[in-house]
Amino acid sequence: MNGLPDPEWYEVLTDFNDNRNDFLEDRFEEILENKDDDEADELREQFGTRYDNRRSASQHRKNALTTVMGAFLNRHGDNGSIYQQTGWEFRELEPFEMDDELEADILLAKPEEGKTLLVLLLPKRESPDTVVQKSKEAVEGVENNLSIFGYQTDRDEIHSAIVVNPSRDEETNRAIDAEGGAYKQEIFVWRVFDVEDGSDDDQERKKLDYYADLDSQLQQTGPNMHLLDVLEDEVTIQRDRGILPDFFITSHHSIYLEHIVGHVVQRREDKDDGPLTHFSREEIVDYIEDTLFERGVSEEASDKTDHLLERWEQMEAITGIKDRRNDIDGTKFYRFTVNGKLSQDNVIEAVTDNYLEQTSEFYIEVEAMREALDDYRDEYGEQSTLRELASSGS
Amino acid sequence: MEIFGVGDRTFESRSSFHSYLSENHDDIVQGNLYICAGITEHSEEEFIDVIESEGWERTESFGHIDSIETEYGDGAAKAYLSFDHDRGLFFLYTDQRKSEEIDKALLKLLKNGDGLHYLYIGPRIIRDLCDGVRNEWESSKVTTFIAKRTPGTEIGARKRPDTNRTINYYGDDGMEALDEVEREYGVLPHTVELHIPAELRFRVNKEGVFTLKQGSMSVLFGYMNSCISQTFAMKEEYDETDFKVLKVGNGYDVPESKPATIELSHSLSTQELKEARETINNSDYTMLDVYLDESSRTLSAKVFDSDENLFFNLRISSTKLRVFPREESEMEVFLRFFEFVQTEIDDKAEPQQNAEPALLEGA
Repeated sequence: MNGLPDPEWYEVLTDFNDNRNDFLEDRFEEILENKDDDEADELREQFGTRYDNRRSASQHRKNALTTVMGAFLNRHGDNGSIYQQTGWEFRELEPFEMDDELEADILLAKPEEGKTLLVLLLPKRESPDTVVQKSKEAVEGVENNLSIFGYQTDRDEIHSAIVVNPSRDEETNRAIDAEGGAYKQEIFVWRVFDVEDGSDDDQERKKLDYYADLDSQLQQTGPNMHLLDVLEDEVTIQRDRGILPDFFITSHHSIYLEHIVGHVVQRREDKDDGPLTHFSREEIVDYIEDTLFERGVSEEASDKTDHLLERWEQMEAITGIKDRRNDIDGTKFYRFTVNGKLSQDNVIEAVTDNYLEQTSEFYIEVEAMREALDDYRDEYGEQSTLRELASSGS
Repeated sequence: MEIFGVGDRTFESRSSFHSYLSENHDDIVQGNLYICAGITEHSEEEFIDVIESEGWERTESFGHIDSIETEYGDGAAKAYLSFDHDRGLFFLYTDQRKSEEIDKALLKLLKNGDGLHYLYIGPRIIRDLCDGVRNEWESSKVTTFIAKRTPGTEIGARKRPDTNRTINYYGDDGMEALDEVEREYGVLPHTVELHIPAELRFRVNKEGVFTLKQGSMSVLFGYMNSCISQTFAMKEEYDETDFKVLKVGNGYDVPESKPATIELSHSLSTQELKEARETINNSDYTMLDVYLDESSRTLSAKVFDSDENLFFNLRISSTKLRVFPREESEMEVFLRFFEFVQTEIDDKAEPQQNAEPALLEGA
């Protein structure tokens, strides 16, 4: 499995640290100091809104992903599952993660029959046109490499489904009609419902259905119809059970922080091997790797850990500990920058309470670093970084 | 202080122990006889292992009844144990001091022992018990009560309904006073003392401690039955939960769990969901990754119970609260959270399981 691409802020931060010199540091401080209060407040508000939107979108996505996954899990003895009725099963999350060009959220398949269905979620704030475009590209991508998922897909058996809230079904169908081109018959709209409790049974009332508004789709015949027939009847998909992911690899960093600090304080109490605030890099890599559903994600877990630790260190939410003063397993140690004598609950609260504000300040600093780097290059041209100099043996 | 003795008798059942206590109560028991009711997910052998890990030991066996004790002060805290294998219930009998050996040793064991919990008796159950006794015995009285108004109460109050309050009452007209303070001050009983002249005088509190002051054990046990059903139903609800890791698809391990469900007495609005979030946030529980989806009126979170050092997942919809166990769930986490929900969110909340009344042998 490939590692994760570096986020943009990470590149700026690394670039700044690699080139760190008096000019850059002075310029960075100057830029920050020159921001008047109004400008800084405006940036804080802008970054705060972005934080809220992204966090909420990330949670919405987790909810939707687990709902659809749950519908297609091969559960033994659960006779009502869509898998049992149709043979379509959940295969993989983010099946194109090896490919920078293609996107899909979930791979459903009947490998023995060469059938592939790529599921994409319609994000809260994204246009259906964009997701239809991604669906087309995903189907086309499989057409161009029929064995991409480790089994042979039949060229005529590649479909895509866009999962939406019911309020966006018509809009999405219109987008498929307008933008789907040659693939519009291969792209479906699936709706996820939360139905009010207390009606005819005691189960979780979450349902999935197939929303077919286009005459062409309704008239469609073919091997996939059974699945669509099943979905047209509104299938209850969460049979009072829940899948419990703490996060997915793409989850918002604030979600990671909350679960990680919870994990750390629980583990310290369990193992009694150090203060509640202390942890090792290796522990976080292991926790992320264990929490992601997929096997063989150690490189991604390692990259994700580095991105998070780098961010939190810059934000001063954590700090590195040079000397090992505990019995925690690992070789590289950190601690949360809160009082280690607090109770577990208070450590969690102290670490997470001002995270939004810290994040806004972090992005303001990253922007200042970017500007300082631009000024530096305008002044001195492109320079070799300290890292490059070191690797060239100079 | 020593516990009452039973000589070298052997009891073939809990009933025979109760008969002995009823017949000899005045002679052998010093003051009050306390019965602490508890609930467990363990077998009797595992139960003994747990109490041993808490510093208690089984000292003697009297047939179906055992004696247990632990060091306490200069002496020992002692109790007789009766274990109900079928229902996971147990009873500890003692006549030692309530504010010493009982509160500081016996109840501590019930609160701290892994897989044990005191038998929580909700205020509405205690209220129903009073009504039941009044309907059955015209001459019955409530002579003492401690009643509270808690944030999760669903009852109205004529006087300053936003005030949380506690009322301690002593008087032979307690039955009537209970009605009056409920109406005026919106309080429900957490402890009551009931007196049925010539039959029974006993006290019960919400931690499942029954105090027999006078009368027959078997009559008391009849009333205990009516108090047990709700907590027993919550344990049944917990028994139905599970956690497993599904191996699916292309090498995925998916953790999945079946929740225990608590039904709320009314549908929560989005504003009430937000209030529930605040209530939990301001409690001893810590919520992580809280997601309030206003479109579906659901709130989900991972909840940390620092007393047990355990997490569970929580999902609150408009009418139900679902508690999803994670890998190392424990019964007492659920029971305590249920008590929290009744106290802080909805005092009419009930476990979804409609357990049959737990008719106790020994009544």
